[in-house]
Amino acid sequence: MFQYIVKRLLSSVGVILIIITASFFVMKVAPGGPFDADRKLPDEVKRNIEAKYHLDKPLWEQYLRQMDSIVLKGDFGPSMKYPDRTVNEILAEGLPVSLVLGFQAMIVAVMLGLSAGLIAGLRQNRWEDYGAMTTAMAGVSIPNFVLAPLLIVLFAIKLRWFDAAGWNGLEKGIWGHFKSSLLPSLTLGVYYAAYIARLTRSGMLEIIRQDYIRTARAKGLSETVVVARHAIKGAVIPVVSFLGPAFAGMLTGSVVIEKIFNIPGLGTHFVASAFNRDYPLVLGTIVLYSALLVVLNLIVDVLYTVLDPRVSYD
Amino acid sequence: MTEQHLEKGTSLWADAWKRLLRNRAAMAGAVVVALMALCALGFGLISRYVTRFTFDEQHLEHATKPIGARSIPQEHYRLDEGAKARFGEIDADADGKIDRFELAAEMSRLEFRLLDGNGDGALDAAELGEAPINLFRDSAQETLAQMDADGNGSVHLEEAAEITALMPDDEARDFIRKYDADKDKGMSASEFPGTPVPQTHWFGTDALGRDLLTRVVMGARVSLAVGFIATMVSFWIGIIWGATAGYFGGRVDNLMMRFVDIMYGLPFMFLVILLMVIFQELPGDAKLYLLFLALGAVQWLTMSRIVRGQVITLKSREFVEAARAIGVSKAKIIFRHLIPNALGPIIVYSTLTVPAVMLEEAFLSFLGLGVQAPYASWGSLASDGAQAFREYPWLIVFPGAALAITLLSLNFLGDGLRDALDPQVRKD
Repeated sequence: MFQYIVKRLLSSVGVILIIITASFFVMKVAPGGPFDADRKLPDEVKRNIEAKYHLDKPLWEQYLRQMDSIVLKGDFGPSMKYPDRTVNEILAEGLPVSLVLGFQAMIVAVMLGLSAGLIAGLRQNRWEDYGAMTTAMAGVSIPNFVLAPLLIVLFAIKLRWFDAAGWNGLEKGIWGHFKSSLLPSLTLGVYYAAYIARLTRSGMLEIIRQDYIRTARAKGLSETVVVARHAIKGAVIPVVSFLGPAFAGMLTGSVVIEKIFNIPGLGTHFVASAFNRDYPLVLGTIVLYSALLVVLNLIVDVLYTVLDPRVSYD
Repeated sequence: MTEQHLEKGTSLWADAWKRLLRNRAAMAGAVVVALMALCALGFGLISRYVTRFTFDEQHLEHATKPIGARSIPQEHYRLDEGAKARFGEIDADADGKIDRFELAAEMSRLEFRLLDGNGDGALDAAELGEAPINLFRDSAQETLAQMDADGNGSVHLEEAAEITALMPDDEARDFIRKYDADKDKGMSASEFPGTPVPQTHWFGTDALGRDLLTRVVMGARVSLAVGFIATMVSFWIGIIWGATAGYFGGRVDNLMMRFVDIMYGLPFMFLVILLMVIFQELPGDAKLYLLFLALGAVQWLTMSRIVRGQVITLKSREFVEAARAIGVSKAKIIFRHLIPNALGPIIVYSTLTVPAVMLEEAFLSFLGLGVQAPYASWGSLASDGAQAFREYPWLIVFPGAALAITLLSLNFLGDGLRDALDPQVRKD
């Protein structure tokens, strides 16, 4: 197991290096640069700025410098759009917000999805099943940028239960945070809740027919115990393997959610920096996202072996 | 050979087809998708004969008007020939020709008559409540109070000018120019072809006064095209990659699938976003192709895994052995023998890829990275709508609903296909 984790971590480092390289060169071949946006700068000034960011050096030297500072010092350098701030500062500010949003969405997705899926699986072909599965189908079909405005109009503007936009940390108390973060977490999580519900249902249907469940029933265990102690564990295995891709999707999805709800997270920075051609910031966000993804995928895979003893990576 | 009476066998496909026909949700989905595709293909006809607006004609005086508002189509207009009889009436100054002010005034009177349900020549609160302007605005009483300058409790023609302006000045001028044979800036009785017939904006208008229904139909065309073409891209890449890896096995397989594993670990949508931002200045067509490629490239990974799995289980079967024994080439074995037999899961996955791609296109368009104006996809329309969804909800509701309904139908169809083609899953 330990060996497996080390191996995976090593290959992840490789993946991230590839990502840095790919993003670096994509940005270099792209037309347009960070300093030719609004007004034309005098050549002298432009040359000075380019010298400051080493943009006047040959491409391979720029690449090596970048790699050197990112890999060895973990430093993405100064932002080109906000010269007085470093990329690391901006990322450190946005990351917690995005992470909290992502984890809350994950909780929403798992809670809603598991319960709907279990009910549907246990009540197969009854109205509970059809109701849950139709809702789940709607959940995967309604884009979150359509759902979000509907929820905002209903819950924030008409009923005034939650905030329509913005993000409160805990400085406004738990309720203050909850009021601003529930709607975004819900809209972000609903798609994955629907997916998890479908996975749980089919997992449940498969498990419930297994011999070991029949054994459990035969020895006189109550249905509640059979489901809670024996069936659920088997039924959630496909869900666990879905959590990796789900988290990746939520990171991407939060770009849109952050835009709609005006949340100062990584997604906002990512899109803005890409539009501004703020290359260091773009690179920083992509690397951070990839690292997150890689680590979370690894956690999911390890969890998998814990849940399903048949799977082993050794 | 003696003649034998044989039970007619049913093929896998005939069987699956029968099962699919019995699945009501899937069939409903198929019908909806077919209708949407028909609308998309028949966009030109719909624009010409049904909505009568083109997707990019602007009616700036009727910007962001709600459902039921009326405008005069600029290109595909119809003529009310009955109006010819009232030439003298329309020609208010009796100089023998209708100029643009007289035409606009006549169109205002027409709109007023349309609003005036009981025909008493005045709009009361009930009639104002029915007027499209009120559907999403203040109460009818407030509107009445605002417009009723002389305070007599109802609105007459002059007071209603703001909501009856059906034909702005420049549109009236354009219309007259078309029929003004002697170029005297007016239509004489012989030149006058009748008044143009106002057309209802069934989905309201957008911020530039463009007809939303026409644009939603146009959006169907773009969104469905992106969905199907990007799926085809992922289909071919996935099949070729997966079949090659599965068929050759060993080190080739290892290398190719390792690559897929690595790609799986990437935040692919971020690279697509980056790509689309960077190549934003490309001309429209090139950008559209890039969009197809980029979205297809995101989706091919799972496809290649599915194909590989299928090919590995199939390649040791006797029929492949037989083909190899008689010297069929490798490419032919893969494409003529293996892939046709693996088609079931491939089709199912492709059907489910279409809504996934459409969702991703919408997602990119929402960030302003997809289709560029004046063209529209459902995603870009919803994106425009999301800017001001509190004031103008119809701008996001209609494209959003069209997208959601189509995705729902495609998902039902894909699920139904899976149930039909894979009876093992269906035993539940």
